[in-house]
Parts: sequence; structure tokens; C-alpha cells
Amino acid sequence: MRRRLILVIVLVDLAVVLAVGALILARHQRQQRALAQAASMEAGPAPSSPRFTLHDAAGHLVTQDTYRGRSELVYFGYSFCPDICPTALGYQARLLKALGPDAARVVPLFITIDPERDTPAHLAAYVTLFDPRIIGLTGSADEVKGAANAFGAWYQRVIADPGKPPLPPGQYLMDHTSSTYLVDPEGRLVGTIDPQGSMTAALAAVRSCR
Amino acid sequence: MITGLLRAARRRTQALVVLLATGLGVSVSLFLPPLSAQDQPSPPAISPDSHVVVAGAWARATTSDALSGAIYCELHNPTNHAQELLGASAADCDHCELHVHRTDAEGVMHMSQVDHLEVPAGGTLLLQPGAIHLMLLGLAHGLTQGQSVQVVLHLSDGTATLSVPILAAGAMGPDG
Repeated sequence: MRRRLILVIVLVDLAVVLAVGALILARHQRQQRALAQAASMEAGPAPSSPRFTLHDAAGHLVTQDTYRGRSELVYFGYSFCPDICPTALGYQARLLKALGPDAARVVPLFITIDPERDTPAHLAAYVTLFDPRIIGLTGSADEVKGAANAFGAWYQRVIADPGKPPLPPGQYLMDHTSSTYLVDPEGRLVGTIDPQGSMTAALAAVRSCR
Repeated sequence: MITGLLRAARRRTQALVVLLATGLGVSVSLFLPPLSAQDQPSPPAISPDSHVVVAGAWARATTSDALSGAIYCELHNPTNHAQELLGASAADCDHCELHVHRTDAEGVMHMSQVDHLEVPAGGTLLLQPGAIHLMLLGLAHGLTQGQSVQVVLHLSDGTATLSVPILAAGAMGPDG
């Protein structure tokens, strides 16, 4: 009688300990997986000649060869972005103005990281607000991801903070790298321009890129 | 003998209950989100004018179908007490949020919403591109260059009502 009672108690104790242990282990493994995933998404060294397959507002295919012979200013962003992307595009527009006639040798590209909301027509209207010479490019989720990886750009949809009221559907934000990539007329990635940095340095970099 | 057995069984049952309760408590606490400050007091419907002086407010033009926009300005606090910018409301949008930017070691921009920002005593809080902005969400029909948008800033000592001019989409400051 007593022995059986002790056996039952020991078994129940064991079950509780095992259950709690399993839960802790599962939680730990989830955290480790998340950490590993975050690490693997970090931008690695970008290849010297980024290759990409995207589409302009008219639906035309645009690849790394489309604008060969001219240099490219490439920025990855999204039109819902209220601050950083307009700041970067405003900078690009001023850079084009400052280049004067030399701007004819440069193709400014804005590649959306949010193809879900940035339809070709909306993207075209958006970039035109800054300068009609800026070309908006989009593609399938995979095409956009491929282009970003090729340049070493990174982006991720912001997961809403559970402690705060959620944004209405369709009003999510994106975290993303904010660099303007400079590609030479041969299609080689020669450097980046800080879209909030010195205009003189940016002008010199673009002019020497030929 | 039987009494002894019963007592021992009772002791073990009590120990088991305590253990089960502890186990349950630990398991539950592991999966509960951390407590957060919720139910922030909303600003009163009628509030006095704030002592904070707002200058150089401007907004960026957006496409007509844009859902979001940004407003920038300078807040000067002439008082001897720190004041807080708690939020804002604006015409033709669902709601406004205070957003700050942080760039991580990988050069990624993270935009995050904050509940309040300090306007230091005798000092200035600057809302400017790439740093801090007032984000308008759920715009009814975008922000058109040349027009203006009515905004009420909620501060810890009252409100400030502004008519904010809408500048070019690529503007970098109140002067364009």
C-alpha cells in the first residue's frame, strides 16, 4: 500500500519534472534557431558584379545588363516608408541635379523591398515625386530577395510589438539597410554612398565612376 | 501503524500538491509575455495651450494614394521644467505615432514607435529627417505639395495646434 503510494508519487513527480524540462528545452531550442536564423540573414560580402532580374513600371524585364554603359545608383526601399526612403530619394534627386549634364551617364534605380504593396504603377508615381529620371523596379518576392542578396542589402518586415496596439492591416513597416550602391558602367559594384552624407564626396564618387 | 501510514501519505500528498503547483507556476510563467505598461492615459479632450513653442514645422508630399506621411518640427521649451511630447492627432489620418530611428552595426535602419519624447527644460527637441519624426498613419488622400495639414501636438502641459505646410517629397528641411 505504502510502496504503491510512493511509487505513484514518484512517477507523478517525474512526469512534472520531465514536462517542465521538455518545455524549457523546446523554448531554448526555439531561441537558438531564431538566433541562428538572424545570423544567417546578415549581409555577407557582396559579389563584385551583382546580378538581378526585375521589372520596371511598364513590366519590361530589367537585369544587370539593361543599363550597361552607364553607371547605376541603386537604392533598396519601400514607398510606405515615411522618413528614410524619402530622405534617400531626395538626396538622389539633389545628386542628379548637382551632376548637371553628367547625370545622363547615370541611371538612378529604386528597388522596392515591398513588392506586395508597391505595385508597378504606384512605384512609378512615387519615384516621380522626387525626380522623373528615377526608375522604380519591382519583381516577385524571390526576384527582389535575389537582387537584395546580390547587392548585400537586407530587409525584414517588422513584427508588431505585442505590448502595443497593432497597426491596421496593410500598414506594416520594414527594417532595411539604407545605402545607395554605386555600380560602374561595366556592372561592377564599386562602393556605397551614404544617403545622408556629404554631397561633395558623393559627386566625386559618381563622377569618377566611368 | 495505520495512523502513521495515513500521516505519511498526507505529508506526501501535501508535498506533491506544492510540487505540482510550483511546476505549474514555473511552466506558466515561462510562457507569459513580460508585463508591459498598457492603458496609457489619453490626453484630455480640452487642454490648455502648452508652454512649448513649436517652430519650423513641415511635412513631405506623398503620392495621392499614400497611407503614411511624416512631419518634422522644432520644439522649444522655455520653462524650467522638462516637458514631454506625448503624441499628436492630425486631420485626415487614422492616427499619429512618434517614431525614432536607430541604425544597427550592420547598417540596418530600425524605425520604432515611442510613447513620449522629452523636451528638456530651457532646451529643444528636434524632429528631423533620418532621426525623429511624427508619423501619420492611414492617410485619407495623401499629402499634396503646396497644401497644409492641421496637427495638434499633445504635450505634458497642454496642446499646440499647428498648420503644417506640405513641401516637396524630397525636401530636407523647412526651407525645402
